Amino acid sequence: MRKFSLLFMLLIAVVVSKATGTNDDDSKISYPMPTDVKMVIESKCFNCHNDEARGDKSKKALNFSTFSDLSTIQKIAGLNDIKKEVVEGEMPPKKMLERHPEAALTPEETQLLVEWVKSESQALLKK
Amino acid sequence: MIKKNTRIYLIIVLVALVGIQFFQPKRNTAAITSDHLFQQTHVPGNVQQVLNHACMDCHSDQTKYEWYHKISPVSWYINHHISEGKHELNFSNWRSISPLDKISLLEDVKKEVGSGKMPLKAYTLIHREARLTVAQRDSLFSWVEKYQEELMQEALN
Repeated sequence: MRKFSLLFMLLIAVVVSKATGTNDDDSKISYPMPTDVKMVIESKCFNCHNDEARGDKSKKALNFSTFSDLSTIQKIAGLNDIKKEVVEGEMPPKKMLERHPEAALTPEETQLLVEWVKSESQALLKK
Repeated sequence: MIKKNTRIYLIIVLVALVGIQFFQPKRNTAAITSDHLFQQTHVPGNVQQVLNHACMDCHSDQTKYEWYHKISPVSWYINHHISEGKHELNFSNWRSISPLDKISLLEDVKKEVGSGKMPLKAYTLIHREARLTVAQRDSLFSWVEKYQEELMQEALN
């Protein structure tokens, strides 16, 4: 009986740690960012801008799988490019939106990304 | 002896070539103002030379034209490159660009030149002085990096 309850406790411990502690590690983006920003990037940008993406061009321009490894200046430049692209409506690309209209950024999402880029850049500048 | 038909075609082509000379794009030859990169920050002489030889023809308001650039359709082709180049980066407007945008643009310079995409092959084919040596690249990149650090300070203020 004691053995069983011990096993049960262990199981609960594993479930709890899965549900809370390691939550962040499950994310495909290692670079720290607010959850709402991460949700937008994961759903609207990540598919083309990660290590396993098919297109070489998009991956070379911006890769969220390796963003953490960049130098501070490269990060600032990358963030600034994100802002520019989404504000000017260049990203997500029009061609892709023809096939996947649901991938378009809403004005609120664009605003969220822009505000994040601003605050994140300032934080990086102070480092 | 040229056939009659061929002669007519040749004349048509000749007339067309003369005709298109009346359609010339506006020359990209504004005077340098205080907005220019070289007026906005100190750029070492050897780096200025690299930029002048390899970049400024399409990335500033001061193109140095050769005689054949003034002939259509070459002039149209050149003009297209110039307007595209200036749209991406125009060193003549350097003042109006925010420090963060400047950092980004300089990062692009490093990427494009480092990967050999810039200057364009079509450009270096004719402009021998635009084929950068390793030393020239290095001096360009070390200036870029130093300037980016300065711009980071500027962006903070």
